[in-house]
Amino acid sequence: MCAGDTEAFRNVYRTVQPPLLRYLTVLVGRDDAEDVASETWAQAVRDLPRFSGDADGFRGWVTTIGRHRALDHLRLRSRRIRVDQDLTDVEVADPADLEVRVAEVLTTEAALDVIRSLPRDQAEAVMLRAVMGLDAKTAGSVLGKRPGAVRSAAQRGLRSLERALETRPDSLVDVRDTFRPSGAEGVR
Amino acid sequence: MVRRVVEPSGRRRKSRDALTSRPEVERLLDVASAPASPRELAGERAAVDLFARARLVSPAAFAVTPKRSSRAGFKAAAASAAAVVAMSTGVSFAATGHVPFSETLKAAGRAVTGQHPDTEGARGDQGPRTTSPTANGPKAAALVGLCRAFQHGQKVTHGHALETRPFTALVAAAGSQDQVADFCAALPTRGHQNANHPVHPTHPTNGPSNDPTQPGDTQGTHPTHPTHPTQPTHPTQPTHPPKPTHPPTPTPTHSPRPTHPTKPTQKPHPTHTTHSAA
Repeated sequence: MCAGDTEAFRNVYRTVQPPLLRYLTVLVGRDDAEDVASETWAQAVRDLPRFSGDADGFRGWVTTIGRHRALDHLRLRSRRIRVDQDLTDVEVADPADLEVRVAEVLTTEAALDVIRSLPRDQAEAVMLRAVMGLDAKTAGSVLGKRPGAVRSAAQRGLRSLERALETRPDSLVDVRDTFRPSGAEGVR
Repeated sequence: MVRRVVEPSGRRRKSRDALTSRPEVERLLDVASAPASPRELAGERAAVDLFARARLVSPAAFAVTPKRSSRAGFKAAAASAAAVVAMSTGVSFAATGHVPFSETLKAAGRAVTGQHPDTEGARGDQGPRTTSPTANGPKAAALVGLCRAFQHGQKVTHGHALETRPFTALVAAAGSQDQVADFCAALPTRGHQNANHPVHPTHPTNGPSNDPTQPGDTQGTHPTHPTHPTQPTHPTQPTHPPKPTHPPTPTPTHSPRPTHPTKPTQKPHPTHTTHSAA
């Protein structure tokens, strides 16, 4: 891909884009995530000749670009309207309240809403580590933190999620059951 | 071969285990990492167009730097080939779902998921194991790259390369480490039958997209071309740490206009299918 193979790039895009978009959704919200993702890929393509590394390295690299674009986006937005604190104060959206259109989309978006309700450092750590599967070192380099700090932020985030889910009905469980037969992640 | 080849989700679970989360949280994380929806990939065409254009505009930027040590070159080639394998296989979970991706992707997905004996019923309708060297598509092409890296690397790693992670997919495809050599020996010849460029092209630019040894080559072009055994993609810094070599915006406090801070030199013209400008 680094050498300019379009098909290789396409495959990489198909793998990297969905988790990237979800991470950006947690950062900037659903409405803006796609624009930020587009900017991210534009910059990644432009800077690709300067990248060297393997698959993990590329995911971390693109995610870093995406994070910077997202933070720029947030800064610009908060200058326009003073809503900068909202990111960490967003109410947890109840999946049961969300309109059911496509089950898979609903559940993924609902899950991202829940994660987005965490303080941002926790939400980011959970996304990078537990959803995107980056190792602590790569996640740390994306976030500009030490791996240990990322680990503890992720753990705090997961504990917060546990508490949040305890106080909620089993709606996520039900949703999960409808989603399961599609065979997404079967192997355990 | 029981080992999971779908690297990203496998690693995600591993890192999750390390985080010791509870079942409710596990469910939520599973949902959060569900297969890609078509909407999420709506920007693919625009991104690929950008990529293709960038390559056309500055092919030299994508050229391979010639100076490298043999060992470093091997490592870079292996890493790049592994990147393609990991990424094309990573898509498999999407291709196995209900999301209608391209046939190529589906083929790649089957080639990977078919290797799991513990595959659940949801995947029962999938084709049989298709890891023979005749497999086409990105997966096979990536294996070609891995094979080249392996064959070249035997000289410098004394056979230990197969124990490293980049070769996991190759060992999985071959069946075992002992079978890799035979597997690779069988691979290029058949791949050549599918080659898109049976006649050696003239390399109009020095862009390495036609480089037969390019591990990222997913089209099976020139699989048997023998002259450059392993041309790694980016050998300039062969011992790459996982962290990005060039953080795009080093100063977070500085806020450039996010709309087109990184505009490629050319205007992507009409084929945008995705975003409207914010």
